[in-house]
Amino acid sequence: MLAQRTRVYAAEAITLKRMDFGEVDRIITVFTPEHGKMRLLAKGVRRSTSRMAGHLELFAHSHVMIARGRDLHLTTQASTIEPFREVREDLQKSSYAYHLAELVDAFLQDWDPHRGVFILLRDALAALAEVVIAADVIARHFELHLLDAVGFRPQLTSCLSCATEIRPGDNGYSVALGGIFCPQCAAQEPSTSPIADDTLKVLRYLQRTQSVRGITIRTPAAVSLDSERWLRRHLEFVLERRLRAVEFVRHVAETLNGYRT
Amino acid sequence: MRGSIQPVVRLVEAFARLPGIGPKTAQRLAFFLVRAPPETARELAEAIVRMKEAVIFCSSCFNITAIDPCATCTDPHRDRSTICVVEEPLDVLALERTRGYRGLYHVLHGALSPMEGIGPDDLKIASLLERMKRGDVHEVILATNPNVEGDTTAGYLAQLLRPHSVQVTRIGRGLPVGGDLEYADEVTLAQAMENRRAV
Ligand SMILES: [Zn+2]
Ligand SMILES: [Zn+2]
Repeated sequence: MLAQRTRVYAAEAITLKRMDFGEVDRIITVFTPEHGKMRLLAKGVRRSTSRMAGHLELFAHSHVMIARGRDLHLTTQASTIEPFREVREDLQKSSYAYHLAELVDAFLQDWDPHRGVFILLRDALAALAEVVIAADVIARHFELHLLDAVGFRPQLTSCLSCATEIRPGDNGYSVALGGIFCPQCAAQEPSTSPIADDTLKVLRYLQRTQSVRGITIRTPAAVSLDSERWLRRHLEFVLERRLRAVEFVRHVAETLNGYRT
Repeated sequence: MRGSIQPVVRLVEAFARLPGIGPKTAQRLAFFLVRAPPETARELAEAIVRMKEAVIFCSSCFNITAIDPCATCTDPHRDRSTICVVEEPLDVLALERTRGYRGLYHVLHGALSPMEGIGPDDLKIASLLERMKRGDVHEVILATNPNVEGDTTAGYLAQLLRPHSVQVTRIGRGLPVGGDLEYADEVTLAQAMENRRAV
């Protein structure tokens, strides 16, 4: 890899998460299109006069200069391409951004380059920053296409067992087997649970809509909730762990709706 | 490190649990103490145990204190109608050094960190809302750190405080003293422009 040969190299990066390190430093996890996910030591960024700090804020898309260090790579310079300020400063949008960042962090290995996922994340953040598409629909689109990109594309159009085309009816979804079973096969497969036609329709629509910008639907609350539940189960099954930021998405949704927990 | 130095391994693991200390630093600290005279180790151990015995959290503002409620919360000269919400006890110290603030504090003991699973129940948020019910608070100043997690925490608190009839403000932000305009990021610069004032 090119990165291994040159001592200092430039990369585009989106900051996924950060951890305080030592007195004034941070270790930042960034996602780059060419080198994948990596952890970088950002020296001095907790000082209020740091020249880099603002450019390495969470979810920011920036240019970074990376120097190979003995243990960790270092960022030596950073400048913002797009800060996604609307996402950062809006409680609901940022709650979803944490969720997207958590998924990328969870599904991709260090140094595993994936330009497609980078573009997916960048476009999802850009869509969140605008107000055209509902945040939860952006998240569902992202989840489906992320699963696809990392080799776990849910099979939603034909029966996983007999391969017949899926029609509205008593279809079953198996998280463990990764997709839909027709009514006859679902009855034989214990890992399936019934999935509502409207939910399946939305998932299929989002799966075949390549770019998030192409989304033109609005989903009723019940369908949104049901799609969220199915995909969360699917993601958690593949990851073999609970997702964390979704809890915060729920907290925020409850407070914004005026509930008290 | 092999079996015969089990106590050292245990110490390394204990150090490695401290914030900001990686395995290498933990080893360095442990081996420093291996070579240090016994008094050094005893003093350190005693200082830690004493601190744990002597320091408690104020049941009102959750700052660290030796007596409960803390000296700030019981000070008759302080303005009880204003509460400044901060992430850590060290932030209280920093604000006190300015000598510009005469209200009370509330220490959250962290910021929301959704990806790490640190949610509202892990911070002193419920107790802040409790303090609102007493009714003598007119303003809550959200002084969480000026970064995304701090903004998330402030935004979430602002939402929770909405039903209480208090004024909620966020500390001002902009360019740091000693900073350089050309290196400022776009958001900081935009905020500095928005928060400009007449001279
Ligand atoms: Zn079938
Ligand atoms: Zn107190």
